[in-house]
Amino acid sequence: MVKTMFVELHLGSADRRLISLLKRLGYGLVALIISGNNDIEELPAFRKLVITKGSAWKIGLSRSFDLVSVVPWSRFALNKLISDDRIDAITVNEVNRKVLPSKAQARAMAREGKALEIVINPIVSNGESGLAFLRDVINDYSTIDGLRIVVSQGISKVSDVRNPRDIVELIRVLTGVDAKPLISENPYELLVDALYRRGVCL
Amino acid sequence: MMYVIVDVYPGDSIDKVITDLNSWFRLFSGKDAIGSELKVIAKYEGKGRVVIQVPSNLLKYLRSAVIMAGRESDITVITVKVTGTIRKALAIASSVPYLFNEFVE
Repeated sequence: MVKTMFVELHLGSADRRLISLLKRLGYGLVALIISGNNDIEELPAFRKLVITKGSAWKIGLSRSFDLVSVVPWSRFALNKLISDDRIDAITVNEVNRKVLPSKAQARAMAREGKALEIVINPIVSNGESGLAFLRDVINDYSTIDGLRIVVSQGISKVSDVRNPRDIVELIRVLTGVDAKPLISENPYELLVDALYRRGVCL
Repeated sequence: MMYVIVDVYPGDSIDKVITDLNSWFRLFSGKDAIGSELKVIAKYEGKGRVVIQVPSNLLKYLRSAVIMAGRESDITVITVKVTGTIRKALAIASSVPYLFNEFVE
């Protein structure tokens, strides 16, 4: 049996202790969402740009990042961004039903090769209503053909860290979906595609 | 039965975490857990480690509860290992290094 390698695409800290904890939990690849010179030796680390309402201008910097995702702030913005070549993923990181992609938008995302990233920490911090949201989002979008769903923990401090195998169990309990690829293969492929799109040879 | 080794940081929040785990476990398992309960087999107070016994068919609910426990109090709760025998669980619990050793220093 091949050992699963987990991938965290929403890491907000380069703390050496945090990184070595992630490594012990089976993480083999991370994407940092913070700027600055963060040397990580223990794990391959990529740089991810997360665009939000206040930082839409940053899309101009996308060339200097390995991965670009957008936290959509309106349906209109989402529509525009779905067809933007510089965007690799749409990120859902709060309990906000208003800015979720519609079914049609999600199908367009699948066609355009854009992933849907769900960051679970800020969502489940809302307790039971967060769990309900997580359940509905995964149930709704896992039926869209060809849409790549990625689940990140969203880690910026040690208390954010959980065992990825437990996340797989949680999602299975909530939805019946096998979530293992969502934290391993899918984010890995998303990253590889993003690098490829930028012309990096692997 | 299954035995789950859980590490907690800070180490002195074990009791709070056990309370949290029980209530989330109840929420997730609902009627499936009528008549059964989580049982604390061993507590390593100084170390922040606990071994919990759970019926095999309810393991998934305990693992889900681990995701939710401690969040409101900034406590880290991480499953170290799941095994099928108490003997193995205790052996692992007393030999595997505490996950948060580097944070304690």
